[in-house]
Order: sequence, then C-alpha cells, then structure tokens
Amino acid sequence: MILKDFFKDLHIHVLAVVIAIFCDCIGTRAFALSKAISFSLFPMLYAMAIGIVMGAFKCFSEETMRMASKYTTITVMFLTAKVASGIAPGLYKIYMEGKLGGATAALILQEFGNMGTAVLGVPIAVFLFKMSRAAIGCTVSTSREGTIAIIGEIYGLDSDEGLGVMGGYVTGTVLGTIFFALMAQLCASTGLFHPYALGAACGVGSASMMSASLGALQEIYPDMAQDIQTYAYTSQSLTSGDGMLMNLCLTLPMTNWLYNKCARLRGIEVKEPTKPADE
Amino acid sequence: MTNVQMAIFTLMCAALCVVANLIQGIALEPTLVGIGVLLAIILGGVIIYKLIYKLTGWKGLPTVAYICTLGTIVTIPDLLPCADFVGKAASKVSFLGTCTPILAYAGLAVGKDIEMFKKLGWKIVVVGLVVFVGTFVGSAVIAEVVLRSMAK
Repeated sequence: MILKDFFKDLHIHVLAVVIAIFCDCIGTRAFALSKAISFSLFPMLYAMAIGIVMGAFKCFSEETMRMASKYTTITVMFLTAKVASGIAPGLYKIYMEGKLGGATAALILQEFGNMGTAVLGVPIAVFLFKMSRAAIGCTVSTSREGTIAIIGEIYGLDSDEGLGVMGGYVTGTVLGTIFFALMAQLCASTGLFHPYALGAACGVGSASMMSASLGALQEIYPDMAQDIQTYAYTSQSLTSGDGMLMNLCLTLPMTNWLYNKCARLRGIEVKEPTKPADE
Repeated sequence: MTNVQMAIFTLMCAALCVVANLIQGIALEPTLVGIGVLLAIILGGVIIYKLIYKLTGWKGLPTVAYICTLGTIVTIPDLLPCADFVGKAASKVSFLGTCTPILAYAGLAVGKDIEMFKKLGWKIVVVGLVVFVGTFVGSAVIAEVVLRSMAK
C-alpha cells in the first residue's frame, strides 16, 4: 500500500499544518524603532522559530525531522511558481512605464552587483573562518525565501549548504533591516556615491530591507527623496524578477567555483556537493 | 517518494496556501483560481523534469528550475494567449501564505542540526552581514560607475 508511508508521517504533517495555520493567524506585525528604522515580523519567521525550538527541546524524533526535510523540497514549488509568474509582467511594466529613463544602463548593470554577496562573502568565510560548504548556502544571495527554495532543492536543507542558507535567513530576518539602514547611512556619509547610485543599491530583493535602507537615505537627502525612491523601487522590481533565475544560472555556479578556488588556497578539504536524499 | 505521495502532499500544501489567503481576507474564488494556476505550472514543471530524466537520463537541473522557467514563459505578455490570465490569477495568491508552510517544515527539519548551528554560531552571522555589504556596495559601485560614465 503506497499510502501507508504517507500516513506513517502523519504526525509531521499535522504538526506542520497546525504551526502554519497558527502563524498565519498571528499575521504580520510591524514595529518602529525610530522614524527611519522599523522592522516587521512575518508568519514564516514564527513558523520556523516554533519548529526549531521544538526540535531543540527534542519534542519529536530525529526520524521526524529527517522526513520534514524531505517535504520542504515540495513546499517550495508553490513559492517558485508564484514568483516565476510575476517575473515577466513585472519587468514588462517597468519597461512600458519608461521608468528606467536615461539611467537604464545603470539600473540594469547594477543588478550584477548583487553577485557581490559571493565575491565578498566567500573569501571571508573561507580565509577567516575556514567554513565548510555552508559558506556557499550563506553567500549565494541575501538568503531570502527564494534562495531557500533553490538551495533546498539542489542540496537539501539538512546539508551543509542548507545550514548556511538557513543561518543567513535567520541573520537577515533578525538583523537585516537595522543593518541595511545603518549601512545606507554609512555609505552616504563617505561621499563616494551619488544618492541615485545608493538608491539603486537599495533594491536587494527583500521589501523590508529595501524600505529600511531607502528610509535612511530619504532622511539624509530629503530634496531627492522622490527620485531616490524611483531608483530603489525599480531596482527592487528588477531584483525580484531576475533574482531567482540569476541565482540559479549565474551566482550559484560562480559561488561554487569561487569556494573551490578559495578552499584549495586555504588548504581546506573540499567535500563533494551534497546530494539531497532521493525520492 | 512516490508520485502518489508527492501528489497528496502537494495538494495539502495547496490547501495550506488557500487557508493563508482566506485568513488574509482574500475571497475564495480568486484564491482557488490562483492556486489552480500555480498547481498547473508545478505539474508542468514536474512533468518536464520527469520526461527529460526518462528520455535522456540527465538529472542536472532541479525541478524548481523547470517550474521557474515555465512560470516565466507562460506569463510573458503577448507571447501566449493565456499570459494575462495566468499572471493575474497567480498574483491573487498571497506571497506570505506560500512561505509559511516552507518555513514550518524547514523549522522542523533544522531542529536536529541545532548542534551544528551552534558550531557555526556567530560566524554565520558575520558572514551573513558581510553578504549584505557585498550586495549593497556591489550594486552601488556599479551604478555609480555607469552613472558617471554616462554623465561625461
């Protein structure tokens, strides 16, 4: 009987369903630290926290947790389909509204700046911390939900890479907004960048992080607030559009390559990429 | 996992997304249409994956890659007659609602790696923050260089 296996794991599903519905009911909560800096907590964050805490207190068996990991690869399909269906209409809208204007080249090319995650992150993770392949999961992008989907499917979330992306996700969710606000202020104070360039940099693919850095910039340059916002929103739409495809086709292979190079230089034994538990 | 198991589980996730949508006050009908469209894209992606595997034995790309590509192609404006309908229908499905089940399972899954998390500990936090510097400064530098070169 094929269904037997499914019902053997029934308690995982009951647990996950109860957690998910409970967290959806709590909904999104926003907190303001100051006028420029605020942050929001989302249902998925509570869901993850509840799961981790229950796991840490050994509320269920290791076998249960291993099964849950297998199921995550299917749950991500909905997010993937949802995000993918917004890519083309989103880009088309930007194109039709002519928002890109004369700065088209700058806005499009700065998208490749998002690969800076790995360029800066991998060497530090390897040379400073001798990190395992967790470094790849953590540095391939800003570790938002879309990245969890990709890493989860390719390596499995209980792999080294999966730990990396989950670690990055927690870091970003807890510290992301505050850190981005501070960083935007710091970059502005160097005087090296035009406010428009900083505005374009705000679009990192996470709405809360973009709002935080954009808010900080608008406090500093009130006269240009509207233009900076246009750059930030356009860059944000571009990143939400190209982010997943770029991660998959460009940044992930590059991160792997860079990690292997750095690890060899540092003398870390490079493990084979993890393969997820097969169906 | 067998196909039947996968199908049951996928439908269960779909139900969770529907519930999340309803909690957020989105009407039942657009929700069901939206989820139906997403299910169709997922099914298409899985079929392409299995077909390619059957025909060539090549297992290079993960299923999400096909789902992502298929979802993008079917919504390119004016390319296919269904593009407008699919895009609008899918946009009714709450983004947050699709994320909650992922993190519910992911949370249950990483609970067992808590020891490894502790070992990574503050290092992963530092690397995570360095990554943010990388994406922000990377984009700012490129935008700055391009804007300056155009101003000349």
